[in-house]
Amino acid sequence: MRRLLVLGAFCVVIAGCGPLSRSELTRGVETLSAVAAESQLVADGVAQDRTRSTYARVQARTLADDAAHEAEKLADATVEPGFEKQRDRAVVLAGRLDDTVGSLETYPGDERVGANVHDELMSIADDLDRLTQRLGQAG
Amino acid sequence: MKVVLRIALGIIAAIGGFVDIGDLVFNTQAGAQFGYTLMWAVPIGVVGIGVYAEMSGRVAAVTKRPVFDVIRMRMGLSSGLVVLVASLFVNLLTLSAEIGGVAIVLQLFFDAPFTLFALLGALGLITIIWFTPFEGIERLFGYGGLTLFVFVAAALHEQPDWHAVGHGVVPEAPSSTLYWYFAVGLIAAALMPYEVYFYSSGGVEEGWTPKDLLVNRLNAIVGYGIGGVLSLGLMVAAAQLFEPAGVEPDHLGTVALLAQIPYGETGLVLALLGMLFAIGGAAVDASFAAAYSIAQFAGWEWGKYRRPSGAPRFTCAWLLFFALGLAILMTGIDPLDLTEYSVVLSVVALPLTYLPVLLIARDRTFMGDYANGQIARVLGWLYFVILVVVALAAIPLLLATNAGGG
Amino acid sequence: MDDRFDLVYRLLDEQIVDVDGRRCGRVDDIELVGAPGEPLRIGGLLTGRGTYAARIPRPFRGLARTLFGADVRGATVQRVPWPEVEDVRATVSLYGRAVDLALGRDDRELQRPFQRLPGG
Repeated sequence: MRRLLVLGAFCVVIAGCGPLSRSELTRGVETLSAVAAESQLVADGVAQDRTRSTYARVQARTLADDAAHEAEKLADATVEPGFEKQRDRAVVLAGRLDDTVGSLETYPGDERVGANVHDELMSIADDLDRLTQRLGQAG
Repeated sequence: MKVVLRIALGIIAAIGGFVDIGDLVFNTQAGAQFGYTLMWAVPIGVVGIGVYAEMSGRVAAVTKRPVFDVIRMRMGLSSGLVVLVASLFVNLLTLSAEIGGVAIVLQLFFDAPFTLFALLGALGLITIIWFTPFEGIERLFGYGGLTLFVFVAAALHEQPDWHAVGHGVVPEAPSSTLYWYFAVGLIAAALMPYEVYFYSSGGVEEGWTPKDLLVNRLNAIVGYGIGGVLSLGLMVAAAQLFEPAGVEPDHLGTVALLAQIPYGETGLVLALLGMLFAIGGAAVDASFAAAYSIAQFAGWEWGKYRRPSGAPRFTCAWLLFFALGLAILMTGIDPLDLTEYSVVLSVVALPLTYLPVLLIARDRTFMGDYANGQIARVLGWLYFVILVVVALAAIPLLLATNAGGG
Repeated sequence: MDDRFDLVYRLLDEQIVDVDGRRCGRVDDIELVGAPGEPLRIGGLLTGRGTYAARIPRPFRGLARTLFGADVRGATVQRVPWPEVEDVRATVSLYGRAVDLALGRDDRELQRPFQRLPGG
């Protein structure tokens, strides 16, 4: 009985290991797109002075952490052969996302910063969309 | 007139007290992922809790037996202990999630470390419970929770496609495992058992008699019914504002955006205040539900009306649960992860506490002329079947979807 | 009180309430007295966590004894003589006060610290 349990636990552990598949990589990129989308909404609020700066700061910090966490996860993972370039691109975009949203955390009450962050996020979102399409076409 | 006012105030408090962190999270995520297509799940959960609450409230008013008194009596010691332990475990997860939710909302207002606000939030709630009479606690958190109607206003403000909304009231053909996970989650979030333990014990605390059966019925039908509108408001608003934008609401603060986008800073503040009161009230309910469960099962003196020194073991129980809930949060676990698990595991345990109440509510030996009538009988058994199906599906769906992560 | 009633359905696991209306335990076990061949009668009610182990399925009794304690009369188990019971309806109501029957002792011991606190 004990042997079965250990074997079962082992199987569960190794199921989580192994190279990142295309669908897992795509999921990671989709997560980044969602973070970018939400960050745009927060940046809009700042740009139009329609939000509280404490809220914008805390929410921006949370979203930047999400982007940084995804960047680390993707950077640490081994990917299936043929997807290294896409993975590297995703890590770069995640880093850009982290930095961009991070400036909202620093200047949560500055409307100009809010507007600039919104524009930059739109560009990052477009790049992420292109990456998602590339992943969909590859393989 | 005074009586009508009292009843109305009670119902209003029930409306505001309906939503907790589970409803906020599941309804918003469901709307963001699936648009209007899961709207049908909310009325199922809302009618379910109405049925359960009405029966348990009626049993409490007629026999003076709240839920865990009934469980001990019908199931005996051994089986009753299993149900008690399972309920306490889930209650603890829920309480911890709610305290975490309070801390997150306070952070969104004041930006200080999470652990500090978890501690301050818990101490604040304990202080309110200690010094405020039972009815005052219900009113305070219930009325404060009414500002959540800003989400309903936001949903209407965005002028939803009513045709699509209407379609959402009918379940879709099987689409994905994740869809059904959210269906289970939405039903479970509306049917949180701690609300019913608190409700039935509250009936005894307030000295309900058969004369209060109308109040009980109105609370269950009108109170929870309108409370369900709040849940639907969240889903519809998320369907309009988050789904098209591709936002995944993985944080509690994201929910507040639904009111900030149409109404600016005013909407944001109303949303955050509503969330604070709703989640805070839920934390109080969950801690008391745990203490009621233990005290009623063991036969201890219990009740807020007794004052702390009048029911010391009961008081120690809810204080201990607050401490344990805080301890769980200090491990660093995400309150939203806790929420997912507490909601899904709650529904697994639910049939075990629902069935004894149903059996007593239909038993003329105990209930006399107030036993289940035709409608209550049909709905009572129908919901037992629904709960068993949902309970059996919950854990497989939780595992298959990685707790909704996909 | 009815002349006949089901001991398990209507008495066992019921809430005990004293003459002042204070809840003071549950009927965790029932003491029946009578020699073989003679009519059995209720000697008393037993209440307290020390009774739990005997009522739990055998494989778990050791664990129950560790968690809830063994049957120690006067400590983990209190006995309420049957003549002390006034009526059995929704609750088992007693003629006397909990303190006189050594019931609810844990609550009484914990009372003093709470009474010292504001709002306690």
